[in-house]
Amino acid sequence: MTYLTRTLLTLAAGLCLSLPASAAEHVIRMLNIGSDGATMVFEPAFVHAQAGDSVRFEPTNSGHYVRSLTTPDGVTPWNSAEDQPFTVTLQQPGLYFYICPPHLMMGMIGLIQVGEAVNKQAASDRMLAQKGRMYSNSQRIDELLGKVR
Amino acid sequence: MAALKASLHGWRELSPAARLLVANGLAFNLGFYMMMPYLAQHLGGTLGLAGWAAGLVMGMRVFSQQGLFLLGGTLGDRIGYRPAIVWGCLIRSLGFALLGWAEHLPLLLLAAFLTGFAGALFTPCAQAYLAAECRSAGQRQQAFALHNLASEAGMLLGPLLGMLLTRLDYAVTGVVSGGVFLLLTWLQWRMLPPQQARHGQERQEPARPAPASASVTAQWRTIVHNRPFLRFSLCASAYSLLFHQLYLAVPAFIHSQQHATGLLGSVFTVTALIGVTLQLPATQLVQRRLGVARAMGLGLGLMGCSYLAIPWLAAWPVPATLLLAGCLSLGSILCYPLFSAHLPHYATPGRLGSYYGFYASLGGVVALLGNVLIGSLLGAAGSTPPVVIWYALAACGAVAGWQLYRQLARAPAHPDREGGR
Repeated sequence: MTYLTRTLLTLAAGLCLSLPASAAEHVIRMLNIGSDGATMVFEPAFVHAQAGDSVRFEPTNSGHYVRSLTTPDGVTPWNSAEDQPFTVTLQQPGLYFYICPPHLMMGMIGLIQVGEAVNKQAASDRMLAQKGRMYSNSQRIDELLGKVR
Repeated sequence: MAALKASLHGWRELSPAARLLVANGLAFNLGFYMMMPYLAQHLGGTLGLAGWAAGLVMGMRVFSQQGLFLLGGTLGDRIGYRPAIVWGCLIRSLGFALLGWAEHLPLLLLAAFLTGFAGALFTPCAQAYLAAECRSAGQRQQAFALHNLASEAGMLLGPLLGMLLTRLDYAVTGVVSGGVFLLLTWLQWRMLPPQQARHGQERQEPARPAPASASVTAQWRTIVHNRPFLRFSLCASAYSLLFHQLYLAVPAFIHSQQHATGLLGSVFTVTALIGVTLQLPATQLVQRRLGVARAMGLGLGLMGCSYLAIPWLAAWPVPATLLLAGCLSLGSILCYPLFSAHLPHYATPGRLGSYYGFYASLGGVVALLGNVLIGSLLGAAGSTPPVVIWYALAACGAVAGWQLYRQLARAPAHPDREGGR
């Protein structure tokens, strides 16, 4: 292999490594009954994403919408329209905790982790504070927090 | 049908003055509820008052009524119930007319004070007068049940009439409501005899004016040293806390749901309809089977437990809310008329108005403190109320109901007490 070939290959490899991975789109469905029979769920309820990924909330069943309760610093909170698909792009690392407001009392909550969980303390405080407003399925808070890496 | 016949018989047995006092329940609530549901909108919307100013006017009305019940009752004990009722109706007539007409804060505050103070004057005095007009505890129960029925009818019709009038102008509503109370003033003045009836078999001889020599503070000291009465009033005040959640916690829950804007109206309709249609059968059930102790205990317990429908049927919020309203109203018709009917058992001669006033004020204080606590727990508008609220209300009703049952079941039989227990 000539010097020129080695140089070109090295440059090409470096270029490939320096390119960002293409952003992924995660789909979360809003369901009255989940695939495991649980009622009022976001499916999947926990998503591990990378910065730049987007999440699309699909109102598979009617009567649902999504509102963020905790986001990393600098992120504008979201609140979608009822029965409308909603897409959000996640630029900041951290935990994004969201609910379906009319079905919070039945435990319809979800969590997205983008990169490092830099706001873990604030997010878990806010999540645990919602337990008192969940008339059923409040263990979902602990299950979601258990998945944070 | 049997309940209706019994009630008609009971109605005929009442003195003309007692019949007027029972019918007052309809007119009082008709006039009151044609104004009050639209006051907040009038102050904030039509007049454009700031939130704090609107709250001040509403608060002034509540305070001058709830806070002055004791004073109003004591005044009635001193000057006589008839003058207190007549003056109360007249003052409220002026107050409501002014409330509809006034546009500036000082006048609105004056109007709110007048309407509240008027209520504080005639409510305990009308209760004391009605109790004094009855010859036995059984007749008192019947009379207060009929009064509650009339009040419920007023609560049902008042907002409807108020809605129609307010569409024209809130000032028109004020004039009509003031006119209702002016008519009431004339009726009380003409129909209530200047010398109130006294029934010898009543232990407390409620119609006799209090001795002028006894100071007001001494009179009130006697009341707060009457421990059985205090226990009774404290337990009965749970009623106010439980009932007032129809205006705080229940609307908060409804607003946290989607597509539920009409649900609040249905809740009030259900409670009023149950009150109107089932009050008389409930009274007959109390008199024939349950007895006072069990009916009060069951009533308060049922009111408390009705709140469990929300967390236990969370998957079906609309049926849960209607079930709550139904059970709350059933509990209410079981126990509410009995509180007023039973209170004279604890009263000392000539001070019935003060006792009714204290009982009403305590209910107001408990409801106020409870509402402040519950309001602080509710959180932002539209958020689901914490589950602890419903369990706490259920516990409150169950404990108060049990305590009341124990107190009344243990009390030595009063010669005047009805059978059925």
